[in-house]
Amino acid sequence: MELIVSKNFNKKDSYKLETYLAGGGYEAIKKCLSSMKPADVIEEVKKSGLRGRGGAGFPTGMKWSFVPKESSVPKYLAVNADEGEPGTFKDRLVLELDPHLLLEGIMIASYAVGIGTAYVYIRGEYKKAFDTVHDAIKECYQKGFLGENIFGKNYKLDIHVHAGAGAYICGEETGLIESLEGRRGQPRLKPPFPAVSGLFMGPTVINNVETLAFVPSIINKGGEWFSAIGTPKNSGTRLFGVSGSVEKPGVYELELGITARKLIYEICGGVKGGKKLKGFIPGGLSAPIMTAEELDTPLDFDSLAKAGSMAGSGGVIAISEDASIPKIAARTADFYAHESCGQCTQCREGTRWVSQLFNKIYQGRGKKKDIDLILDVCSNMMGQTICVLSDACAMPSIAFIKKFRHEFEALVK
Amino acid sequence: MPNIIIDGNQIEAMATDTILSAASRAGIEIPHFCYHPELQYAGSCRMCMVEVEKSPKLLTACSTMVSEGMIVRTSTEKVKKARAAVLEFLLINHPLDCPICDKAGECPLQDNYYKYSARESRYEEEKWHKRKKIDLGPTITHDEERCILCTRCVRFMQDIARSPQLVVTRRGSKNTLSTYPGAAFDNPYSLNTVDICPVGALTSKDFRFKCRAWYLKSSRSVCPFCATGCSTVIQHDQNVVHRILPDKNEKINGSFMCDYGRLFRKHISSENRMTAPVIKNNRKDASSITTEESYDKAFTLIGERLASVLKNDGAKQAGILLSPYLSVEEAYIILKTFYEAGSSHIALIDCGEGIDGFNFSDDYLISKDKSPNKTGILELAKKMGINFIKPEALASAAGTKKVRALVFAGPPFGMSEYYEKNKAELDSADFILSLCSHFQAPASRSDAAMPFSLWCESEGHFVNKRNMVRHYCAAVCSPAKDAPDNIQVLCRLASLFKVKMDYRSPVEVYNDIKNQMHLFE
Repeated sequence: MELIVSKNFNKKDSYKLETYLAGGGYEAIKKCLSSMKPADVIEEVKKSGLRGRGGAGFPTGMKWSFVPKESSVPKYLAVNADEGEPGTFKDRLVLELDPHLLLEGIMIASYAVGIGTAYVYIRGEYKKAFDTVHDAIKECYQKGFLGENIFGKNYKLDIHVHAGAGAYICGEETGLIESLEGRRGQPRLKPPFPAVSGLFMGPTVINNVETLAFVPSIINKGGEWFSAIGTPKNSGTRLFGVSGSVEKPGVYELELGITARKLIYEICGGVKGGKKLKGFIPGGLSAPIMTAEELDTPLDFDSLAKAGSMAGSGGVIAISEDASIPKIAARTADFYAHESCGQCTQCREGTRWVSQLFNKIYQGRGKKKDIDLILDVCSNMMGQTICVLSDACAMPSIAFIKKFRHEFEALVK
Repeated sequence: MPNIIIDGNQIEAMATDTILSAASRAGIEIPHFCYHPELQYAGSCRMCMVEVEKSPKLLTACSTMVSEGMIVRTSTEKVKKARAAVLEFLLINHPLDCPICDKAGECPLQDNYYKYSARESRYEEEKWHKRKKIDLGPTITHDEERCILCTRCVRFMQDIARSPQLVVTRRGSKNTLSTYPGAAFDNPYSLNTVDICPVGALTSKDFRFKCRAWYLKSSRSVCPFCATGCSTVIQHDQNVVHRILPDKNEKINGSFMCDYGRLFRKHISSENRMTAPVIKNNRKDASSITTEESYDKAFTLIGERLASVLKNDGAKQAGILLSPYLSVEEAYIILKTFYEAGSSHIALIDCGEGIDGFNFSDDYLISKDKSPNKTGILELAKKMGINFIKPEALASAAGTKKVRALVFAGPPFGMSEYYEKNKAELDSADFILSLCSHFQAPASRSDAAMPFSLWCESEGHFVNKRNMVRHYCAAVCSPAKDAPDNIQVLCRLASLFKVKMDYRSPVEVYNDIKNQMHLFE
C-alpha cells in the first residue's frame, strides 16, 4: 500500500523545506496556481471523496463549497491542530515530522476557497509541534511561498500559528474560533455556521491537520486515484493511532476498510502479553466501546456508525481482559467533567454527576439503581446542548453499561 | 411577516422574531433562565427548548428565528422531559436554601421548578461547595452556590452597562462568576444584575434580609434622581419603602435604572424626616425655645409673624425659592400665589450636575441635569409670564432687606447646599419659613418649618428632560402624623398671602394646568 500522509515520516530531516522539496513538495500548489481555477480544485477534492479526519467525517470538498464565493468581509481558514481527544496522537506526527505537507494543504485549501489568512491552532501541550510549524512557516516566507504573490503568482496568503492553552473544548470548531479571537473557549450557538460567519465574523473553513495533509496528493494524482483507495464512500487511507493493550502501539497509515481485528492482531501484534481482548474503542474516547465479538467491523466512517460507534479521530484503544470497564468508565467521565466548558446546563451538571456515579460504583459504594440512573442521566444529556461534548460523555457511558453491565452489577450492592 | 403555528395557535410573527419572542407576545409561556428580552441571547440554560416540526432535535426557542410555516410545539412529552431534566440538573448543585434566600417568592428557578418538575431529586452525591457571602462590590453580595451560570449579569454588564466587569471563570461545574482579581464590582448600574439574576446569587446589600418578597406591595412611580425620569416601582411594607426597582418603559429606561435612583430610598426613611410643624421663638437666638405645634396653630402663628414682618407691603417683600423636586402641581400653586400676591422675588434651585458634590453622568440613563422637574417648572413659569431671578439674587435681596420674608419650598436636596453657601445673606431676612421633608438646613434654621411630603408620599407629575410628562402616585404615607397633603399645605400658605386657592387634590390642580394653560397634556 502506498503511504500518502506519512510518506515522509521516516526521511532524515523530514521537517525541513529542502527535504520536502526534494520529494516533489509544493508541486501541487504550483499546479493549482498555474493551471486550475479554485472551482476546479474543489471539484477535484469532491471527486476524491475525502472526508474530514478530525472526528465527524464530513466530506471536505462539500465543506469548502459551502463558503460563499463572494464575501464583503475576509474569509479565513482555521486549521484544527488542537488534537485533544484521548487516544489520539496522529496529527502530532504530521505537525512534527512533515509540517510542509500541512502547509501545502493549507495553501491549496485557501486558494480553492479564496482565503488570504489561515491560522493553525495548535494544542498548547504540543510545544515541539508549535516550534516546528512556526519554523516551517518562516522558511516559506523566506522562499516567497507565503505572503504577497506566492510562487510568483498573483495570490496572497498569510499563515499564523496560535497555541492553545490546554482546553479540550477548543478543539470543537466554534470553541476554537472563540479561543482564536481571544475569548474564553466555549462553543458558539449555531446557526450561523462558521462557513457563513465564523472567525472574526468572516466565512470560515475549519479543517483537521490530517485532512489537509491529504490534499496535495489529491491534486497531484487526481481525485479518482484517491477515491480508488479504501472503500466506496470511505476513500483513502487514514492515520490510526493505536494505544492501550497492544504489543506494538503507534501511528499507522492504513486503508479505510481495514477491520479492527486486522489492525490489532496483524498490524499491532495482538494484545499485550498474549491476553484476550475485552473490547476496543475505535475512534477516540468519545466513541462508544465495542466488544471482542465486533472485531470484524471495518474501521471506516459508515461501518462504525452502523455498528453504533464512530470512526472519530482514528484513535483506537485496545482493552485487555484484565481491565476493569467500570474503572475505564469512571476515568472517561472524569475527563469530560473536567473538560466541559460549563455553559450548557446538561453538560456542566451532567458530566460531573455521571462521573460521581461511575466513581461510586467503581469504588464499591454504588447501589444497583445507580446503573440505571446513569443511563437516564445520559439520555437527558444527549442531543440537548450547544456542542456535542455532552453527547461525547453520554454515548460511551451508555455503551460501557450496555455492553458490560455484568461488570457494574458485580460491584454494586 | 412569517406565519407560524405554536401549539395549534396561528401567529403572525415579525421577521425579527425568535420563537420565544413570538410566543411571549402571543401569551404562550416558554420557561427560560438565560434569556432576557433586552440582552443578547446566550442559548445556554437550555430551559426554553421546544419541538419544531422537521427538526430532529429540540431547539432553543430563545435563539431560533421564526420562518414561514414553522410549526412549534411547546409542551410535548419530549419537551416536558427535557425541561424536567434541566431543572433536575440545575438543582443538583444548588443549595436549596430558599427559606433563607432573598429571592424566594420571586425566584424563576423556584417558580419553574414547581411548574415544570416538582419531583424529588435523584441526586445523592456530594454537592459542590463553593464560596458564599462574597463581597463583590459596594452594592452586591454574591453566593456562588446559588448561581446557575445563566450569564445574564455578564451580558448586562457587557452589552447594556458597557463595562464588562463580570465574567465567568473556571470550567464545567466549577464555573463561577467573578470580577477581575482584586477589582470591585462598582458600576453605577450594578444593582440591575440583582433584578435580572434568576436566582438569589446576586443580592443587594441594601435589601438583603430586610423583607420577604411576598410581603412587599408595589406602587408605580418615577425616579427623582435626575432629569431622565426613569419609570420605577416602589416596593414597601408597613409604610416602609424597602426597595426601588425599575419599571419597564421602552421609551425611557427599558427594564433598567441606575443604582443612585434605587439608593435614593435612604432619603425616605432618613432619621431627620420632619414629623410635625416646628416653630422657633427666636431663630437668631440659639437658646430660644423650639416647639412642635399642630398644623392649625402653626399656620396661625406663621400668619401672625408674616403679617408683622411684611406690614402693609404685602407680598412685595416676600421671596420664594422653589425646589426642582416639586411636582408641576405644587409648583403651579406656589407660582400662582406669589405672582398674584405681587412678589417679584421668585427663584428656582438648580441641582446642577448633582447634590452632595456628586457629578457623575453618562449617555445612558444618568443625566447631567440632576433636577427631576426643572423642565416642568420652567415651562409653567414661562407660560405664566414669570421670570425667575437667580437664587443668588434672592439671597442678596434678603441681605439688602429688599426681601424680609423668605419661603423655602420643597425637599432639601440642593437647597441645603444653597443655604449653607448664602447663609449670611439669607439669615438677614426677618422671617424664614420652610416647607421641607427633612429637618435639616434650611428647615432647621427657619422660624417655622412645615413637613412636606416626598414624591413617594404624594401624587403629581414631573416633566423629564425630553419633555415627557411623568405621573407618579403615593406609595407610602408621610412620616408626619395627620399631615395634610402638600397641595393643602400650599393652599393654606396662599391664604396667608391673601390669595384664594381651594384645590383639594393634585388631580384638580393638574386638570387646571391642562385645561386653562394647555400644558402637559
